[in-house]
Amino acid sequence: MVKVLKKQNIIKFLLLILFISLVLINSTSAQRELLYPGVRDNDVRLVQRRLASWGYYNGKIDGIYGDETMRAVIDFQVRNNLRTDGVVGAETWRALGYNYKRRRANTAYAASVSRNQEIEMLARLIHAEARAEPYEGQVAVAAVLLNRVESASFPNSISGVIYQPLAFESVANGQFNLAPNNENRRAARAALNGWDPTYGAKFFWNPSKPVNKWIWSRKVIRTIGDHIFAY
Amino acid sequence: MAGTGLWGYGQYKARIKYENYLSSEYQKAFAKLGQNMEELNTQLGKTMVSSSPLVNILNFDRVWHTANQAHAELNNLPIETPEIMRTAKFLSQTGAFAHMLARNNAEKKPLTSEQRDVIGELRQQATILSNSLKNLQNKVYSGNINWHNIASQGDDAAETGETPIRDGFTKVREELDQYPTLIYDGPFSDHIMETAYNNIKGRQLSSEEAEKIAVELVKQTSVEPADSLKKVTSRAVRGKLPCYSYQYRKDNNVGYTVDLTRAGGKLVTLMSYRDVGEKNIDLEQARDRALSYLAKAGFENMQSTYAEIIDNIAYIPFVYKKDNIIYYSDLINVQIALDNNEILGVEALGYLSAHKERKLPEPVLTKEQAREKGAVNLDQVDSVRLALIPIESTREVLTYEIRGTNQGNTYLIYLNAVTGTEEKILQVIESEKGTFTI
Repeated sequence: MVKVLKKQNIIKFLLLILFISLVLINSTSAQRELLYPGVRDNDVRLVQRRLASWGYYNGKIDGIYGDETMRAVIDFQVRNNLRTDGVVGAETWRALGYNYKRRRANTAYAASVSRNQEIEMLARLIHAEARAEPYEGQVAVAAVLLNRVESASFPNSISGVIYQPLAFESVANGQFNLAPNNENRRAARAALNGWDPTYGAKFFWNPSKPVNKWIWSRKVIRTIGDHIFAY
Repeated sequence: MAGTGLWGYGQYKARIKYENYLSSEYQKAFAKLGQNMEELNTQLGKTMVSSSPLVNILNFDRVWHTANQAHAELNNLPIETPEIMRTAKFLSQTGAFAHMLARNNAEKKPLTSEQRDVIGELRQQATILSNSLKNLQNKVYSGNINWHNIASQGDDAAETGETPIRDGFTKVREELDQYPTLIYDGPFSDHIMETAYNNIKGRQLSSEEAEKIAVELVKQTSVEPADSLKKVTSRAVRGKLPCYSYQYRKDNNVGYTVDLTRAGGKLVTLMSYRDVGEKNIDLEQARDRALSYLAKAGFENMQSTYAEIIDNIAYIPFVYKKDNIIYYSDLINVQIALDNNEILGVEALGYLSAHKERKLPEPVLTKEQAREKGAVNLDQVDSVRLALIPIESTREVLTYEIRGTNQGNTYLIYLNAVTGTEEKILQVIESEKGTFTI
């Protein structure tokens, strides 16, 4: 269960476990099965078809999680009292009538599939927030995101942290939806494998851009490229 | 003209509709948060008076669940993190603490008086939070708070410029900060969150001394060590683990970043990015190369258990092995380019923070007994070995790692080597990109 992923050692251990593509037997983490804007996948088709037949979606059944699909998902979530995040996690999958756990359990590549989605989300954030930064600066941004996931003070999933309101400007202004490049992906993979050049930072900012005053109250760890990293 | 006007009016109406939609979403999250807090307050109170283990399990489970719900709703609110971090932490810790107590009860461990005191303190904090939310809720209902303003421009009430929601959470933070830190055997405990790198020892090096080590480590990343490096920059790393960080460019124009601890000059991270060409090196060669590199960096007795190849790069984790015991906490990751066997990355923070002289218990179970225990639920046992694994909190347990298959699936079972109880079961999912190396 993802909630156990807290202590440094356990994290490393579980990262190793994830790395070696093992899955905790009773794991029901919503993250594994996540669909979100930008994903192209047959599963997206399933969602679109179901939402269309229930009258939430009028767009094409094309397997692309675009704006219209997201709007339909949000609409569906609102009317069914689900958490409204525009992301199809375990809860929404269930509400759509798919027993997602069972569907995935027989898939031989469950772990790598989930990992690929995590990498894709991290890579998008890197691209949106740090594409002009050196490679280690890109790893650092992804590491901050993962440090937040592990922290008690932040949401406890990658999607939760990314979509937390006001957390990332690039999510609010749509930059997050741009496609990442290979360097972004490799940086994301490095962060997921444990590389953390920020040594536990939970905040980063570019001091040459307008930032909130409170940010300077954080304890600074280091700078990489144009970004300051802090606890 | 009229067309433009109509279009503009349509846009205006669409915007209003969207703003209303967002506001009601935020309001929903806020209302649910309030309900969850009330519920949490009540549930915590119940756990203080109940002495039936079964009822306690259910109550603590409820607390855990409710705290998690509240945590999720809180994180859906458009309030900047510094204001809500303290509240979020309170909810995470309360949930994890309750979860631990539920499990203790299930294992028939009664509540200690210290734990009772802690619950009392948590209850007081829950009351503070709950009352504060009720207060704010009233302001929201009286129409003085506009969520859309909060999200977009920083005023809670557009006319007055007041910020009651944020002020409310700031006040909560100040009040919760009066309470002692929460230490328990589980995730989010304060002593874990404050990981000190106590195991990293050594003489404080000057930047010049450390740089010599850094230069050598970067040169050695090439199979034929690079002759010269171009220094790009160096940076200080403060924080809990003081480090030196250097950036170099090798003769082949590949840039490297290398971080060393100030104490002892140990390699913490090495990173570089370049395009990797066609695969010329097999996994065996890459692993040997990584091992000899680690030895040069001062990491001896390492063993790989697995490797993954992605885009012609091998990702190999190494763990410490001594007296035939695998130490899973002492982990170093290495990244190797399979076109020319160049080391692209090393990550040793896990190893450095965990590695120390340990006093391990003598196994009570023999290897054969462990194998027999494992064989009960497995069709076939492939291997049995001793492994020290990290579990909740900072504890480590000496186990027998039993690898075997059941109905065609491969499992790893970890049996406590002293008590014989099952600590963990993992299912191995084979992937096309990864392979076991032992």
